[in-house]
Order: sequence, then structure tokens, then C-alpha cells
Amino acid sequence: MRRVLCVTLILFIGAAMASASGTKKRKLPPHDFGSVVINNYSQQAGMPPVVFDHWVHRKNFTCRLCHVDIGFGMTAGSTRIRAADNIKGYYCGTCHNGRISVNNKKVFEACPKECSREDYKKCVKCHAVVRDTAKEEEFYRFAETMPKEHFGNGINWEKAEEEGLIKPIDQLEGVSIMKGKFKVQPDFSLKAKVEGMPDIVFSHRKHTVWNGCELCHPEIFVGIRRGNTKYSMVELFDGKYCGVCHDKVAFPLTDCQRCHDKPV
Amino acid sequence: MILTVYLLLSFSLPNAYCNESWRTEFEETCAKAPDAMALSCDELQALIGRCDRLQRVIEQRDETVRKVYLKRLQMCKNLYIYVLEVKKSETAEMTRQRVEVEMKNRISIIQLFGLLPLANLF
Repeated sequence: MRRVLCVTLILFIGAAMASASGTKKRKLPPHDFGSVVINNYSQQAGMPPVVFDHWVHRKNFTCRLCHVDIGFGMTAGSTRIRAADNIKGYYCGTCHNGRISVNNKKVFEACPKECSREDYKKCVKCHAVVRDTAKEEEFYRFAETMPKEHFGNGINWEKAEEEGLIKPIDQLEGVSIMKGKFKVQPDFSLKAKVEGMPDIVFSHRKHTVWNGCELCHPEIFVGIRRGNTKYSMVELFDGKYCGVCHDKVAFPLTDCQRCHDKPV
Repeated sequence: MILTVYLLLSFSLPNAYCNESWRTEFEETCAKAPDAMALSCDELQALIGRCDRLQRVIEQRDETVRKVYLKRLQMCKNLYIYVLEVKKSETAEMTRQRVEVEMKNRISIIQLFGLLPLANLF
């Protein structure tokens, strides 16, 4: 009887550990944070999925340019990009056409029309077959020059932009609707639900630098009247509201004091 | 002669012209998105109407153009609808507050003149 109880206890503990390790989120290395795997049609076409690195792009462009003007979705796989779309000059093909230069560097052409052996080398730049250590080294060389933070990419992108270390492009001729500067909405504070946690000061200015208005409203933030929508950290960690960006590309939600910074 | 030329042009031009005219219309309609908060309710309503008309035109385009521009248009239209609802909500709130203040003033006047029982009617 004792033996049976012992075995049952061991099995129970083992199952608990196994389920815990199964749902535990692995902390991504800095160069991998923000990477998105796109696989709507790649494997069907006999190609490896695309691994899209956000850091390579956000150092040059705002979120708004890609997610509003070019039309990329906010979740992996939601855009349903085809090679044909890229070849026609949409989505990735907006810039990856072999003609545009960014920071005096020509942007390689994605999805060539002909599929020769030579062209296949271009395909694997995105449809990665093996881990690209050269890209990882490039990331760490870039990160060395940027302001540091503890989480995510290890790069404080906000500070990098404020200090002029990066100058993200917000409009592309022929793609974006050219607009002038707009009036930024005021900042406001949100009361923390948990006793003792500092309140959150939400900065519209910091967000509109990267996102504009239409990226967040109303798709992510639907509430009309301030204070009507009650946000919970559970929902945020589930990828809603602030969690659409924070924890995937922008600094993670585990960096509490970046938001909960209003003096008590 | 003029009629012939006109008829020839009207049959040959539409596709080529229409191909680009909707893009111009799209740019003009969605260019106001950053300034949406500064627009009046009527202006927002008019822009939403333009978005609806544009949607019907874009739905006739090829698959890729449809996919890209419908999404962009949807984001732009949704922002206008959102801002319109914010403004209507703010107007309703202001009206409610004004009515409350007026009622309080009336009650104060009635109380001042010692007509307290009448104040209860309000």
C-alpha cells in the first residue's frame, strides 16, 4: 500500500513538472526577440518558412510605415503574403526590389520572377534553411552601439530614437500618403489595480512616434471613453491591448517599471 | 466629329484613368487620418462615406491590390468611425453636464425664493 502511494506521489509530481515545463515560456536570446515565423504558403511550395527579424527593420523604419502604409498584419501569418505579391511590388517587395537603397545600402530583391539556381541563393536569405550566425553577429555589433536595457532585444529603442542614434523612416514616396506633422494627443495616467504598484503614465507622444493613430485605434484599443476599458495584466500577457506589441517586439511586460513609473 | 472623338475617348480612357483616379481619391481620403481629432463630425461623416465608395471601387481590382488597399482603407475608415464616436460621446457628456448645471441653478433659485416644495419637482 505504501509502495503504491509512493509511486502515485512520484507520478503526480512528475506530471506537474512536465506540464509546468510544457507551458513555460522560454526566454528568447536578444537577437531572436521580435522574430516572426511566416509560413502561410512556404512549406506547401516546398520552401522553408520565412524568419522575419524585427530588429533589422525597426532600426530603419517606424512600425506605422510597415503596418499601416504597406499593410502588414499585426499577428504572424495574418497578412497571407505570396511571392506574387512581393514580385508585384507589395508587402516585402515594396522595398525588397533590388532598386531601393536604405542608409546607402541597396536592399536585396525578394522573390525573383525566374527561379534559377542563382536566384535560389536570394530565396534562402529569408526562407532560412540553417541558423544564420553572420546575422546574429551583425545584431550584436549593432546592439553594442545602442542604449541598453535588461529585457527583449537588450536595446532601449525609445532612447535610441530620442538620442538620434536611429532615425526611423516614417514615409516612403510612392507608398505612403504624404502627411505633415500632426497634433499629438495628451498623455494620461492609468491607475494600477494592484495596491502598491505605481500608476502607469501612458505617453501618446512616445507611441505616435512609432505608430501614428490608426495602428492602435480602434483595432487594439476600442474604448471610447477613458477609464471605461479595464485592462488586466492577464489580458496583456495573453496578447491583448498593450500585449499586442509589448512582449513580442516592443519591450516585454516583465519590465514593469517602464510603464509603472508614476511616483507613488 | 467632336462627338466621335468624345465617344472614342470615353470608351478608351476609363480603365486607364480610373486605374489611377481611385488612388488619388484614396490618398485624399486617408491623408486626413493624422488630423482626425481636429475634424468636425460632418467632415468625419463625409470621409466615412468616401471610404465606402472607395471600397466598392477597390473590390474590382486584382487580388493583390484588393488585399493591400482594402486593409489600408479599413484602418483609415475605422479610425474615422472611432473618432466620430469619441466626439459624439464627448458632446453627449458635455450636454449632460450642462443640463445638470442648469437644473442645479434652477433648484438654487427656487430655494432662494423659499419655494422649496416646488424644488422637489425637479
